[in-house]
Parts: sequence; structure tokens; C-alpha cells
Amino acid sequence: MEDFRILVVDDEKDFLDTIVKRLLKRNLYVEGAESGDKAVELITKGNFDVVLLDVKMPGMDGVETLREIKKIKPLTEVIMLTGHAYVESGIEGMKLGAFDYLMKPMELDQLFEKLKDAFEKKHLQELRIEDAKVRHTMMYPPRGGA
Amino acid sequence: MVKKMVSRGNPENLYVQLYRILRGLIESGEWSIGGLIPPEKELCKTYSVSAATVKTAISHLVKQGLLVRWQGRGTFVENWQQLQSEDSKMEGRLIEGISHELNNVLAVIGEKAGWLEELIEEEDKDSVKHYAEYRDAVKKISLQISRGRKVTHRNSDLPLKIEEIKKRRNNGGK
Repeated sequence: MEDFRILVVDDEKDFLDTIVKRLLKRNLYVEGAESGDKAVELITKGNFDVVLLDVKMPGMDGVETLREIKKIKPLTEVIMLTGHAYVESGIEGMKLGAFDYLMKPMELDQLFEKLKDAFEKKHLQELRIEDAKVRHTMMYPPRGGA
Repeated sequence: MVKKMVSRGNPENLYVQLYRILRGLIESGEWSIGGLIPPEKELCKTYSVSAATVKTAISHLVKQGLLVRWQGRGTFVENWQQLQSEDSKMEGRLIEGISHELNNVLAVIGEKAGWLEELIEEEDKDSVKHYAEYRDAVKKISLQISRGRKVTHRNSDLPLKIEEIKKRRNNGGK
């Protein structure tokens, strides 16, 4: 499998630490953040492909964090984690450009598949942008260039 | 925008998932108020679900007053913004809060049990005295977590059911 970088954001430390450990054991690059602020800080500095983001956190909640992430790194794919099913947060997240949402508690395999799908989408998107850039350069070669 | 799809890996009922997707389309205005919604056959195709699933999801939306069926003409988006009561919104939030708390507890236990299961697999079973018992206990904890999850996830249609009961009561028990 291709290498990609994951950030898990959840204020429940026991949950966060364990899920990070389990994903590391599957040879993925994973970091954890205990708050939305911390997540934004890490995303600004580092390069993450997929973010697994808890919807309900004290302080900056999941939806706000999602908005920030999409502002800083629009290509980063975000999977929302919700502790409930019924109402808006899942839908709200989708409207704001989240890749998908998962309900807690989830099977690790199910999460793993979702992370892979999200990464593939990001990867394709990057290829498309690269492709568009190449086509643009071919149509409008830089002046003085080859 | 990417079309949201139902997922068969999700323990939630398909109709609840579809209900939520369609409700999203209505609330976001993608299906505008007063507009005709696509025919059921088309929805089956779009979301790769059976006609029964589409019918159930739509009839929930009709019962909730978000859609209205006109015999021979099709199903339309109701002026739901005026109809949705503050009461039902609050109930939804209350139930949401309860299952949120429960699911968070289940999630921590589930992750810890999963982690233990992985560690136990690595142990040398002859040198750990109660190996078989540890393994069995941890497997059973994981099993109970998925059992609990089925309850909390499937209960996500509880607010719908409550709303329907209330509507029926308001209509004089019909």
C-alpha cells in the first residue's frame, strides 16, 4: 500500500492513544491531536493526507476545525467521527467538504478502508491538478522558455 | 460535490442511511421547496438500493412532513421550514446526546479490547499461564461491543419513531 500520513483528532485521550497505536501497528504514519487547535497547528506545519476528526470536542469543535483545515490545506481529506447518528453534524460536515463520516465505535478494518479511500481521492485530485498544470504550460509556455 | 452513498459495511439500516442522505438534500435546498423529487426508480439506481428501501426512506420523510405525495403527480418537497417544530428538534438533540455519550464509552472499550487482542496474539501461548482465558475474555468483550453498537447505531431512527407516534396522537390516534 502507498504511504500516506494520517492525523487523528479526538479529545478522549484513551481513545486517541489506542487508535494511534493500532494504526501504527499497521505500518501507517499516524499522529494524534487532542484538540481542534492542536490539529490546526500540526496541519499548518506538517503534511497530512487524511484527517480523522471527532465532531464533538470542547473548545474548537469538529465542524469549526474542518472549516479551518479546508482553509489551510484544501486538498486534505477529512473523515468525521461522530458518536451519534441522527442529526446534522454528519450532513453538515459533508456540506463543508468532508470525505465521509463514521460512527463510533467502529471496526478498525472499516476505518482502514475508509482512510484508504480518502487517500485515493486526494491522490487522484493531486494528479488531476498536476495534469492541468502540465497542459497549461504546454498551451502557454513560459516566455523565454524552451 | 461528491454524491453521498449508503454503505453496506455500516451496521445502520440502509433506509436510515438513505433517509439521512435525502434529508440532507432537502435541508441543503438541493431539493427545493415545492419541487418534484426524482422518481423512486431513479433513486434506486442512483443509490444502488432496493425499491423497498427507497419507499421506506421516503415514507419517513412524508410522515415527518418534509415531503408530500400527490396521487398521480409524484412526490414534492413540503414547505418544511415552517412545519418543523422546536419540540422535535429538541428531542432529536436529546437522543443524539445520549447515544453520543454511550458510543464514546463503547468506543474506548472497543479500542482497548482490540489493542489487547492484537497484543495477546503476539504472546507465546505456552509461556503465558492463562493464555486461552485471556484471549477468550478479550474476544468476548469485542463481541459485546459490536452487540452494543448494533443497538446504539440502529436506534438512530428513534427520533423519527417518536415524531410519528406524536403525530398519530395529535391526529386522534389514527
